[in-house]
Amino acid sequence: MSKDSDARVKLDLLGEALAKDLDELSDEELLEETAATDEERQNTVSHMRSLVEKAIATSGQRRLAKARQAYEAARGKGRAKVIALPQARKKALIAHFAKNPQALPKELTLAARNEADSEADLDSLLQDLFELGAIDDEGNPR
Amino acid sequence: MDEKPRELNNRSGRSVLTRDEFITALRAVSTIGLVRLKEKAKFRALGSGMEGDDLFQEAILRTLDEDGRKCPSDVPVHIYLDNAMRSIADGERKKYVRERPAGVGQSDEEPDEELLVDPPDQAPSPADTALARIELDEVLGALEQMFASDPEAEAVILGDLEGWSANEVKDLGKMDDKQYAAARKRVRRGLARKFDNRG
Repeated sequence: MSKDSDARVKLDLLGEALAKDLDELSDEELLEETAATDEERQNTVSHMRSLVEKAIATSGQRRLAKARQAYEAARGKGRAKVIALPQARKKALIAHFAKNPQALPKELTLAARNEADSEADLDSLLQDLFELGAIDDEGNPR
Repeated sequence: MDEKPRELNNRSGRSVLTRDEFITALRAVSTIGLVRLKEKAKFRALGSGMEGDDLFQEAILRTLDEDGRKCPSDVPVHIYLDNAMRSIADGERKKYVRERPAGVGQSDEEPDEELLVDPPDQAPSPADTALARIELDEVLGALEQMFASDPEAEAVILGDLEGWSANEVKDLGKMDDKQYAAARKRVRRGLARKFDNRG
């Protein structure tokens, strides 16, 4: 056993012996030893309860962030390559469908004719067109 | 608990608390149970480089983590948390042993879980710095030094570090039961004061 491993085992043994001591103390003995006054006891307990609540809140935030990340990843995965085209090309594509609505649903045709300007609007429209099969993955009309 | 546990530990097949059940059980830990856990956390954290409070929170976070530890449904949550703190602290000490330069305290064991709480702040004073550094031999030396002027307490520390029985320690320190109990109390209080905010 290396010197450090030996020290590690010793510290674990010490912690265990001291924890066992605490288990053997009665509630009264423990309180007398660790928090002499009512105020100290209340402070200790509210501090511990606040640690518990903070840990629960932190864990909740991490779960939410993880779920959001998974959702974004899944959403990104299903996105058509057309979203990566230059904005001018995207606008030209939308203009093409505004003039040649063919069999597009009415709402989509109207949206195309409303000349979406923002990148997000364009992306949303192109994604809809892709999912409808009106364009392929790279934005070529079918 | 009224609700029957539905989850099983993947490895052992043992029934474990769900996240919600664990949170409910955690919030129901008694006042005295929390005081006991706070004191235990200080002692469990010795030489881990973590503060007792951080170690306590780490045990909770790892249990709430989806892929983390699970509390067996037949184990009271305060006992489970104490065991989890022991294991996490030991894991942190093991990491230190592995991180030492080649040839010094190497280990082939599996990597441990990553810490979920932020690492503790820098030690506030030079005296605390020596104890806070995760250099296990220095921690051991500092612990022994703390009680150098109290031979009975020193015997308790040395005996605990070696895993000796109460009788062996009493023989070493030439103590009767009462002196032994008083020496143990001085050790506990001395360490608790010293490590009130630091492991």
